Amino acid sequence: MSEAFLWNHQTRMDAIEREARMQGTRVLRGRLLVVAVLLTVFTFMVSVTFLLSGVPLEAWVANTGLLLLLVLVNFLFYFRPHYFGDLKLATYITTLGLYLLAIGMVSVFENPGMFAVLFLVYAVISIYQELRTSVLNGATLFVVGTVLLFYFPEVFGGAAGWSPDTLYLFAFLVIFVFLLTAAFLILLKRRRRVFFTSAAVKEEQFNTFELFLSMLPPGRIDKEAAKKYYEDVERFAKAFSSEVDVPDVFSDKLQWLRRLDLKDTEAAKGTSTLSHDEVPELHQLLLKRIRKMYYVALKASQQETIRPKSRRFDLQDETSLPALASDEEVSLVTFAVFVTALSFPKPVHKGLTVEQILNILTSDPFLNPLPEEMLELLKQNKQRIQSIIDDELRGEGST
Amino acid sequence: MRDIYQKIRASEFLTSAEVLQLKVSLVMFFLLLFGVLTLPVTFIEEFTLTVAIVVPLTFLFLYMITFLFLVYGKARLAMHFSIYTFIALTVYYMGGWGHFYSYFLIFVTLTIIIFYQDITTYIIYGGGLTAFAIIFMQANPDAVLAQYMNGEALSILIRQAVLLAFFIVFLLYFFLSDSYLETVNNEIVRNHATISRTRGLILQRNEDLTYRKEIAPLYEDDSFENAVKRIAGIAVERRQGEHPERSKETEVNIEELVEYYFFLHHQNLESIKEKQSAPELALRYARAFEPYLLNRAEDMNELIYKVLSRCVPASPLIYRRYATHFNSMFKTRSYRIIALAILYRFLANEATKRDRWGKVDHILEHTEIKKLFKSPQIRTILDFEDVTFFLNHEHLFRAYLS
Repeated sequence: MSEAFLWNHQTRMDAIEREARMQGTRVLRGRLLVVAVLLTVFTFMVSVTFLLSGVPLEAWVANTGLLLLLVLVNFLFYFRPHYFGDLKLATYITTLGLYLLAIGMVSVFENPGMFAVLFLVYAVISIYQELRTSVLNGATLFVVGTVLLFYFPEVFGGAAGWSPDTLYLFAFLVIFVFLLTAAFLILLKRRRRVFFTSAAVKEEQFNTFELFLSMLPPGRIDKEAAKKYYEDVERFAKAFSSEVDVPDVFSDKLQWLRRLDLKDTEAAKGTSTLSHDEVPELHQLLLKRIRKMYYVALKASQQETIRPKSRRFDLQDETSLPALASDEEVSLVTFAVFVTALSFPKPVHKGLTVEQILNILTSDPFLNPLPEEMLELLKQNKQRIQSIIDDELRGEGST
Repeated sequence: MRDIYQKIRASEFLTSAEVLQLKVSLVMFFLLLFGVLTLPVTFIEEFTLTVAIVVPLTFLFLYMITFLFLVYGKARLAMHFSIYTFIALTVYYMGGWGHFYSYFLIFVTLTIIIFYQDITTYIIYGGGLTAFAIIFMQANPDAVLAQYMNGEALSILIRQAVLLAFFIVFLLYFFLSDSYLETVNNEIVRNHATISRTRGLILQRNEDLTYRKEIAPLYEDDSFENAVKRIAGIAVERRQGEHPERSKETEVNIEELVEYYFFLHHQNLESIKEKQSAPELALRYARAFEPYLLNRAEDMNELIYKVLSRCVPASPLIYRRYATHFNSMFKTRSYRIIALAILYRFLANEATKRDRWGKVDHILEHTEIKKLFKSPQIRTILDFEDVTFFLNHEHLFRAYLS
């Protein structure tokens, strides 16, 4: 494989994985806020219940204090995510803290009905919808529930211990933990795939835009074109500033764009220094090196009549590749057409070698429409197929 | 069970229907376990003979119906019946006894409903069951958990509150989960539609350029057809080696089939399909080849351009790489205005639409860009604030950027 191909492939795969991971982090951050609000409500309810039930003051202080601490942890991780790096830490702290609280409540009330508080804690932690936290949640509930049931019968007012009732309750606990953990595993695995697919579709969208841009007539998106864009925008900005009678804040930024994009070292002389936060924003605008704004404009041009379907789709149906025909003979023809069409030059593309086709198809399983046997056939006969294509392109072929 | 475990591990690759089938199978396993553990109790307790017989029979009946629906591929109906079975058992235990575990059985039944991860099912069945349980506990304070009450420590109110809180927290869980997936879902569908349209433009431009450069399109190029015939011949050769019994017929037909494939590019497929007198074989192949014709924006071209789009250089941008909404791309107002100006200039100077002849030659005029900016669809890129800015200064956009 060529170095350029490997670099492109790796850049894309890294970007897709990063985006999928970031989507997960964004969701988790939102959930920290939801749990914080939920726990605030619970703090109030638990405090009132404790006060009305006449439990000792130290128990009230300990439980309310712990709940408030957990609320604080969730708010803190939500508002200052960069201080802590990994948001999952907040979910682990909350999980263990809430089970500690539940144990406290069960022991204070000494009533079997309080066992259900453990289920409630499980429900609250489920809000995070995070894989490892869900496993920790299930495991902690199982361990805490089992220990309470079999080793501390007094907290159930004598109802627990090795009695048939306890065994039934244990069976319920097993069903509860197993089914919900399985449900979350399925949901989270599928959600991770949705995030990955979403990122892959975004990457594909950009690649398609890039292919479209590569077909534009010469001089439309090159260095000169970028220069022209910056000049026109500068004239526009000056006219805007004078019309609304405000100082021209755009010149500096456009000079920096010229310097970064067109390597125009003279451009930014005499301009103000660039703050660290501005660099990512400037990168979004680089027309020659990045081209992101061209993609955004192309996307905008195609949006007018798009209306998303409101139905929930099935990932398999929506994102899977069209297969080559299932009919055996038709599939042989479509296989040959597919390979030859990729190899022959077209106005939009100069054509690929069989080696390049193989590299692309094998590097990404989601991009390969060929059944295994046909991919194998292509691998085994790549030189033969390449020489057929070369012959025909030179006009030396024979049937 | 091993098979079920494997399926759970690979659940991201299953279709929704397969996942539902997997879930019903799991619930049925637990239902059976649960029935075997609890139903014998009906014979020990002091029930009338009718109750002692009717309860297990009802359970068996519902279980068999669930099983049959599952076997006949009606997983959704099987799901409903598995829930009915659990609800029936819960209501029976709650009404019949003041037993220790009837309160917890409500949570188990809610768990079964949650397990299916369907918000409508949860609201209807879960909501119904929770409401029933709360009312029942209110009306029968001596029932559920009664013999373990120590009077003051745990009131009925707390039990009801814990149950209600459990239901509400999971309801919140479903809303959060559903709303986020719905957003991502819409985004994927929208991006797919954009890709498909842009691909259509690429295909059209390829045809336009082919016509302008006076070169033959691939489906009219003899050397292309020859190459297809020869490569298909290699595929047939391979099959001869693997399935000698099936190869002879294919060997005779493959060249004809390739010719027929190219012939179809010049035919009106609808009329072939409608023609009563067309031979059955011709009709069959016409239908099979239809999505794979090179002059149609269908499966074959989708595959080709999908692969070709991987050959373009990857964008080197890392930070906010996929963000296309101005809110996510920029924090500074002046950068936003520069971006809006670039966006307008591109739209006002590049051909991004088909003209009345179908060619990709149409450059948007100012009024069209204005209409686009005012459309709700542009909200995926621009904010209301950006559109207002544009409308307030549209004369400047028109004068300096068109």
